[in-house]
Amino acid sequence: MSNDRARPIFLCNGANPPDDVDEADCIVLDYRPSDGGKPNVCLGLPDFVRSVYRLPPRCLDLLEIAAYVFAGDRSTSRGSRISVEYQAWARNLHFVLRVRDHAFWNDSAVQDTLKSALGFATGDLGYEFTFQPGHTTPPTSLFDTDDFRVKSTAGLSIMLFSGGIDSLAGAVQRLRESNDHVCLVSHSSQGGTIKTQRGLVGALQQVYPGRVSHYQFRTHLQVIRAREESQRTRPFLYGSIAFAIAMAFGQERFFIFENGVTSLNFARREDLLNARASRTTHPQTVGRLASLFSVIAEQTFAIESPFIWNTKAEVVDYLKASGHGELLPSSVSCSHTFNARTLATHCGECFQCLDRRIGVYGAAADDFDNASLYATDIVTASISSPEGKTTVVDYLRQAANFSNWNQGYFYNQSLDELQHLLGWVPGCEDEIDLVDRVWDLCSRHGQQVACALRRMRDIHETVFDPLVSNSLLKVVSDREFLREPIERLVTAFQDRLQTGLPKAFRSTPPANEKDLNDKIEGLLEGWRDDLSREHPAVPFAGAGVVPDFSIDRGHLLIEGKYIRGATTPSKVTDGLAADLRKYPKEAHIIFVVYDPQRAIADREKLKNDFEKRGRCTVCVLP
Amino acid sequence: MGHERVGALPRTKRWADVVGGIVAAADVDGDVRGLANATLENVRSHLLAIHSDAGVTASFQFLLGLALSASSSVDRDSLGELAVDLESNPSPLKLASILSRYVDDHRQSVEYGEIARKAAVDAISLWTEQKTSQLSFTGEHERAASIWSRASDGRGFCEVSRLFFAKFVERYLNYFLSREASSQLVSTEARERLAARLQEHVDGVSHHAFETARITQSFAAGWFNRHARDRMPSSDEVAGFLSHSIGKLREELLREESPQ
Repeated sequence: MSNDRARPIFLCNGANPPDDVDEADCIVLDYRPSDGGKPNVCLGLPDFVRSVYRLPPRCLDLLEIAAYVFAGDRSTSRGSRISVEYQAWARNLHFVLRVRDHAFWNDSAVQDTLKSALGFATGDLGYEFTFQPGHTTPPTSLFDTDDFRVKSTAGLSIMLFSGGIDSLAGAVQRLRESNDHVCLVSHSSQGGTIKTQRGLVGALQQVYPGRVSHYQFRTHLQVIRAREESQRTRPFLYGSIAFAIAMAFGQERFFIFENGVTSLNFARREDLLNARASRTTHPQTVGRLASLFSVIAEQTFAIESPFIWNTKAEVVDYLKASGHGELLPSSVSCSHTFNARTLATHCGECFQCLDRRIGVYGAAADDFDNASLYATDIVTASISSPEGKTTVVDYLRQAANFSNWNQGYFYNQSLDELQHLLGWVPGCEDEIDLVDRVWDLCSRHGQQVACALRRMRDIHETVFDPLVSNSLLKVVSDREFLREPIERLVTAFQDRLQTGLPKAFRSTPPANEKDLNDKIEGLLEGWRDDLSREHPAVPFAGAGVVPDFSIDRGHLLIEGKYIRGATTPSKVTDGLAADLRKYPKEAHIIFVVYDPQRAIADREKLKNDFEKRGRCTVCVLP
Repeated sequence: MGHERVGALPRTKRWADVVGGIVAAADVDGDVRGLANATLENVRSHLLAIHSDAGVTASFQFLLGLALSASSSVDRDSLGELAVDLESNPSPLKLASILSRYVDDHRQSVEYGEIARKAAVDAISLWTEQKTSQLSFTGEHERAASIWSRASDGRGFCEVSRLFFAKFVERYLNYFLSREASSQLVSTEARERLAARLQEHVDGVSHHAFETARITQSFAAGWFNRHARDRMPSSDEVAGFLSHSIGKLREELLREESPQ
């Protein structure tokens, strides 16, 4: 019913068409100059090889394969964004290439590893490779000979460098936390990106003289028009470039710095199937690429992702805390830089811009990364495109879910996303460990997004001015999840007591305060696993004071007060004031004041007087 | 990194009508049935053919294989690659992973295959959740073999099927509607409300289709007892079942009057 589309066949490096195919039915891709005219693929291979003196033939093959796959990807449409169904998204691509190390590439196990690495990352239906022997290229310099060997270099960190916040923070981390020389490896396709990368490299070289070098590799289509913008083959190209550098310097690993939430990139809409939510740094993509590179290197080769358990806000916070916050505005995260018509470096409405802005506010780094960098300031101004609105709303929905769900619900709802990770995340002992860690990451992300939005509101909302329709502040104006988690807990707790406690004492009032607390405990039993009675002891003036109940590791304390006989309202208010002094400032206290004879004349006043001091909620019953 | 392709619905009158119905359907008393119907009408021909997709069939076959793997009366050889080792007590996550590998090897349209695979993962999750709470109530051990043995008779198979079909249709509806809903609605609350109302609607209709409309008694349980009691049914037999069940569910969804 679908995918019965013609399968494009790409003839690369002067390869012959397969026996049963006419050359006229193939697309010829070549980066080498010929008499016939300008090559249609730009590949800066000679310059790249000169920069590292020499690359082994198999690595040169890999770089060419990656460049041609990228070119084929860019030249083959995945269908319209407004199709009824996206059946054209998954393509079948066939590459016929001349290579240097034919015996190696022609091995079916090697080809299977290559295809599986591409399949998951791209969401394509299939890749086929036909390799032909006989490819050569002239030496690029006097050093480019079989005899030349660079000795394995100790103290070297090779990492991908896009010029965005995460790779910048990663470079800073390697420079600060190791004595390594750091090789930043970039793919350069557009003038703006090249400029950004060079600017940041220059800044790092100034701060860390003699410790930073930068390798750029150019690949793009020319002469023929790029018909597809999604570029899901990028991780293969980028990884191959970094791997080639690693091989040139005798290394067995390289680094990818990307925050975990973006790497996992859980789909935010139902139509984001088959890598339409990109899997560029997904652990499975990274793992499959590492398997391919290990086969090519004939030894274990690792790709390390040190930020996999960090959120965006935590990455921004690291950069800020390391004293490099001033570099933030020079980094560029936007994927629509080619659309820029203003001095702003970011469009402001794409996923990367949104994620960056929320991460920056979450880390309270908005003094560095201000609104002037963005063509549209979505925080306070109207989001101009439907795509931008969709991106914002779905991002916030997902963050709200992560913030509100418990781990069990997260597991059930995310089972499919989680199974893509099973066996692919290094360092996870078993699936319980994996789920725990992923949940912890997502939950923190949700809370940090809520925190970022609260900060946006504090800074930008004014009491008398209406919010601009379709702005981010307007979209979140009534959001339940923006409330502090402790506030939600307090509300749930109050609801439970207001319903249950009067019923518990309908026929007989509490015998004493212990009886009151027994009933409170009965009502809360099974509600929270972390409810403790008369624990923990809090040191105060050389003695220990003990709350009646504590929840959430002591962040929420509950004190029961029973007004009767000699325990007058004034004694109770003195008790509340004393408790507020004794208990830690970071704890929120709920006072359950049980006043069956209505001895407190003005309950509302008592409540307001205490609650306006903050840190407490007064619940007077019945 | 983190790119996503933001899709949209076709710019035709009938799809514009669907987009126009989104805001109304997100109201507390809005016409969510009308929205679902208009969407399904627009893909009527797709829905009529979807049962023959290899990935859809494979997803459902896996669920069937899972249930039959827990049955002592089934010829295990007939299960072939669909035999699941339940004695090792695989978690829902592990089962979802095995399912994914199986569907990946049998996919045709990656779009339909993915929607069906996710629906089958949902069915695994929901069925496990239901049976785990029932088993702990009776004090029985919550092992995968116990959980899935409950699906290896006509009645259990019916419920697993209903979960699969309801989730498949819900996901298929959202495959279209989620492209436009967030840009059409004013707040994240309204967006959540629409998602919840659609889920409730499809779940309600699927219950109706499988209970009141007697897919259970007159067809599903009978089909199970005839074709799957002691062996794995053939792909053609499974495709026949899928065709009938999806058709029934579609008819129920498109009925004008309320099923309740």
